[in-house]
Amino acid sequence: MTKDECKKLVLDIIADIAPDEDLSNVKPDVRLRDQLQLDSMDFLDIVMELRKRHGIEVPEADYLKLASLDSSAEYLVPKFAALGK
Amino acid sequence: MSAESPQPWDVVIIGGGLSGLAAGIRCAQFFKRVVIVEAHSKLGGLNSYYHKLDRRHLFSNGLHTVTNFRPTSRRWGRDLVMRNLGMSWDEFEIRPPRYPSRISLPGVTLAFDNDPRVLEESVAARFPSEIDGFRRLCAVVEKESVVLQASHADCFEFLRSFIASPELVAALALPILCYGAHQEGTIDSRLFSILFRSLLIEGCGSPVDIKSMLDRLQTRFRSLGGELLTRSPIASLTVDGGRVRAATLADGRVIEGVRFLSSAGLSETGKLCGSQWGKPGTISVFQWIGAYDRPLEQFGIRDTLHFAASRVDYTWRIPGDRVFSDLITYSANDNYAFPQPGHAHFKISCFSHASEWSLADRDAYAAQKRRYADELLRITYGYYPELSQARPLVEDLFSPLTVERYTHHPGGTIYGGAEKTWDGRTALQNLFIIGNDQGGVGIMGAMTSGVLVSNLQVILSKAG
Ligand SMILES: Cc1cc2nc3c(=O)[nH]c(=O)nc-3n(C[C@H](O)[C@H](O)[C@H](O)COP(=O)(O)OP(=O)(O)OC[C@H]3O[C@@H](n4cnc5c(N)ncnc54)[C@H](O)[C@@H]3O)c2cc1C
Repeated sequence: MTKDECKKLVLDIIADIAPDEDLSNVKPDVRLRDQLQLDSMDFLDIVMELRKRHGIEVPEADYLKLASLDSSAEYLVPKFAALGK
Repeated sequence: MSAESPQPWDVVIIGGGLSGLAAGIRCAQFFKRVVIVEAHSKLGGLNSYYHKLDRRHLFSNGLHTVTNFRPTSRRWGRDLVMRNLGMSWDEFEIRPPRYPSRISLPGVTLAFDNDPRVLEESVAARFPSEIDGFRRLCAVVEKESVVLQASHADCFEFLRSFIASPELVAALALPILCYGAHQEGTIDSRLFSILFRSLLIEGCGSPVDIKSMLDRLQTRFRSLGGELLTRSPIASLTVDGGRVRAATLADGRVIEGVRFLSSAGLSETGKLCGSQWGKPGTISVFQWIGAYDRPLEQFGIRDTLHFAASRVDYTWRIPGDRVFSDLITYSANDNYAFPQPGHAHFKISCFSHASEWSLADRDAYAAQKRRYADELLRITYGYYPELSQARPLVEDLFSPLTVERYTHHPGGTIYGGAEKTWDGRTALQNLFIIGNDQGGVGIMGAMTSGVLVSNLQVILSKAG
């Protein structure tokens, strides 16, 4: 799984949990909360969906790593690699 | 996995009512070992069920209605709860009403339904000069209701800041007070906003009975690996260095945990810890349920819910030692659009204090229940004359003492204590309050409370 693919799958999840958000101009290096109407509970949904859809476990201590698309990709690439994806 | 296994539970939930079940489901999505500990054999707490007549005839003791029928925001009400539970609303088979609901006071009748325009039009027709204020009220209610804290403003003052007519203020307050006012006099304007939005703006529905809803929640909880202990009253919580370490059951079993969520009530939970917290509530209920062999509409009952006051200048207080018949709530269980006709149960409730009742003399207790019921029925025939000709298959009466006995809430309080915790926190670091005493009133309110407190205080925080 490449970084771009990881960003895409995070965006796919956000599109499902926040269908009203316009995701066409999300800046990868800016915190998602600062550009979208997402609150801390929405991040819990992202965590749940990563587990459900991709078998990725994000322990609580790592929640902050999902702050932006860039940091999410950075964090998820090795996780997918460890799963052989 | 047994309850006594040496490893502590990640989350221990006290109570298998709607807030406990919702919290259990939410926590079980994030933690491996979650246990719900319920005193009774059945789940549901204040919204439970029993059988009468025969084994197939099920009565839901509460369940007048399930609020928040229409989703209006993904962060609130029905969508918030369903998304957090990972369940779909359709699973619960909640049907909308077939008849509108009614608010009635002498000289004032308003209708409301799942389409908010019904109430709006009804206000416009009776109080044309108030309609702008009413619309502003609805807009503000939506903003107020999303904040998870108390505002301390009196709901009557809040209403009067939009509406001049005392009759309209009384009419709009009536269903909200009956549906969830936990203390006499008045309630906080934020709690008022939450209930107003849930009931009057988003509308209502009902499953056939509460058991079907509880069964689905239980199945979901178990499918996530959650453990459920029934017939397991907790006798005390062991506190150690500002934290709860374990719960001890009445039979001596010890359940150790890292985090605790309690739906037993704030003052009740304090007692379990050997402390005095909050302020016990006083609002309880007397209810008459009649089961009929024909649809209720055939007796001229064409309301789904009906909130009735005998005077426009009613006060939200329970007068001691007499039937609190100033304010009555009616619910016609079969006036929802079920695919098959449901049981025709008509419920009449008024508010009451446990202190008015005593079990010391069984005959006197039975006679007092009869007296209350007759008084309620007498008033009811004024609204529904045809009902006086109908014989119910069976009647059931319950008093505040019945509620107390089955829910463990002292005084049989149905909306919790007089103090709410709002953020769910207690004096102990790893113990949180969910349900009525966090501010989550009603079926949907209790479930919202279970998921929000789990998210904010348990899953997202470092508690534990
Ligand atoms: C007559 C009546 C009608 C109602 N009608 C409606 C309605 O139409 N619509 C609606 O939305 N709501 C209704 N309610 C709502 C209800 O008032 C609540 O707001 C809601 O059900 C509260 O849920 P809860 O989880 O907070 O608390 P509870 O339901 O009280 O759950 C607490 C649970 O904890 C258990 N418990 C307590 N102490 C202990 C202990 N020490 N150890 C183990 N377990 C313990 C209790 O047995 C109970 O099961 C009605 C209630 C009543 C009584």
